[in-house]
Amino acid sequence: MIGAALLLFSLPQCTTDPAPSVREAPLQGPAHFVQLVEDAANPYSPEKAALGQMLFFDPVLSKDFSLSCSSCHLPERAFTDGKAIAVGVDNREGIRNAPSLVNLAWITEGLFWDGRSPTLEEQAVHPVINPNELGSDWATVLSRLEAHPDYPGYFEKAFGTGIAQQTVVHALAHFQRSLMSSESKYDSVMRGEAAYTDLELHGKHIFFDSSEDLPDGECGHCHTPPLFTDQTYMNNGVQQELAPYHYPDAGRGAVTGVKYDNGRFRVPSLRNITLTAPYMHDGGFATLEEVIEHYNSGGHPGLNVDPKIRKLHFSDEDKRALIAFLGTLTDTSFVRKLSDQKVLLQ
Amino acid sequence: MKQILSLFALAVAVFVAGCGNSDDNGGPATTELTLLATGTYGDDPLVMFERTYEYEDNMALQMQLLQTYLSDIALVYEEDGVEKEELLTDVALVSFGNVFTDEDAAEGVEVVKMEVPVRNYTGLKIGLGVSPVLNATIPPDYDLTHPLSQNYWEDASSYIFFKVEGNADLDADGQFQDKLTYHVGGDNNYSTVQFTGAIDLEKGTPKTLALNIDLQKILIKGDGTYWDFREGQFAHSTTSPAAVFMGENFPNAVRLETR
Repeated sequence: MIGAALLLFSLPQCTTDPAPSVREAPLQGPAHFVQLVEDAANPYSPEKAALGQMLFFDPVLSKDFSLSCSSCHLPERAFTDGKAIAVGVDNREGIRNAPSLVNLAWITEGLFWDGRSPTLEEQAVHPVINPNELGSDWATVLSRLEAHPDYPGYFEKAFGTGIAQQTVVHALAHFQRSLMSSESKYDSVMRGEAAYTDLELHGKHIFFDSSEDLPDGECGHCHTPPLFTDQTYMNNGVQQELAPYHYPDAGRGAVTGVKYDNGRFRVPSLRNITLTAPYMHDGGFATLEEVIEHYNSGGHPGLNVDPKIRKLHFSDEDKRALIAFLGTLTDTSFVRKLSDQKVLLQ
Repeated sequence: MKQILSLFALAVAVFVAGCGNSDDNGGPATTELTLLATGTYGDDPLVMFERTYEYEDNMALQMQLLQTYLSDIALVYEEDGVEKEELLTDVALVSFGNVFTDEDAAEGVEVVKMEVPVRNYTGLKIGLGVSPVLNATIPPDYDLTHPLSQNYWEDASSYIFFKVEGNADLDADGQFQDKLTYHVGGDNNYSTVQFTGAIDLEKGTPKTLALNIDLQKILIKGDGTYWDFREGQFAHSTTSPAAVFMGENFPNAVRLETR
């Protein structure tokens, strides 16, 4: 008994207790996904995510109260905006397509198309101050939140502390981390609850190179399930090589300084792909048909174009089948209107 | 009283373990062992992209990726006449995808670095690919940081053991426009190798071993038989001729060096 009592007494000394009002609850993913690893520096809680959701949809983060994060990341478009290039405050155009925000809790190899931010927390700093996005500054944002009638109390509830840049970006990170899509038809089939149509099955075989009677689509190498991204950076031949290893947008190469990374971009998830047009880092393809035609043609040649990008010899039926399979990745539960989580903060 | 003291000792031990950093737990003396992997193409360092490697029948290739899983890496020793193993890791993923220079190639890629009991070891065992036991698992069995959380082929119920990707010049015109993508997996393509020789580990003397993987020997057998890229530039199944050819050759393409 004494030993047990000592054991219980000794354990709490190894940890730092959160403030009494702050709840921590590890984020759980679906059973058919890789297991998540809790970030000890910013443990997840529903309250933090609820606060992040409020901030995500609040134009208070923009210079002139005209835009919020959700202006370029609309839930009904799987958190994209339907534009080729994102447009920020003062109608200033950015440089790339607004990426979908899906299953980001699993992303460990960098955010943004070029992977320049290693974590969601670090990523959330930038859109607020980017003149082509929200165009504000952190001092202004923090003073507005401090002066708000509700936010100080919400931060206290979520973090047990006050408003700071760190708590703002931690909240935004957790909201984005909570955006999980795992209820598509693909998932239902994986669980044995649904079956593909013949056309979808035809497309699946092409996608995963799993039939000797059909052309290989080479898609599943990089768009690996269940995330439908392998989190690598690749040159998929979408840009014309201007000179050896030189492309109009250097992408990953501008971050790493490695010339072989020039023209490489993060492989995006294909979940909800039917909702996220236009496609590629530059929004250059308006439709999935154009995307498939690009891959079917082998794309532009280039010294560091991935070897898996080659002429594919699809028939019209193959192309239709591939699009049908991609349609099974749409998760309608993911794109419905988000419920108000404010109650968690009151 | 004796029982109370025993329980107290347990409580203290759990407390110390929970807080980490015990320097002396009374176990065997250890030293740091590093296992590196290096890539070559014959006698040349294996570097990605711009290096041209001559191939059979006037073909040539330039690489973009060589990646492989290694399983059940263990030092071997004898104790009381019985062969025993000191497991270093059950699985590691080794990629030469970021090896761009001769210096990178000489430095090698770290496979495992850990404290190992000092002994006079007699060899090293390595599985080339993912062992059948681990190949029966799936990515959801692991967390994001685990090597087996990726590279899984659902349709083949197998991990992709190794990948060889690059571009070939098949007609000696100086243009590397023919794409090569060989992905090899499946229990039938798993093999183990054991290197025999003294690996003496002494306390306070870190040791480095280097596993060399020779791509040329994966593609060309000792008898001169080679995989003709013109016969197949892709392999995506466990039984495709290219996959089986390379899977068979892999054990002959590795050697162990002491640094």
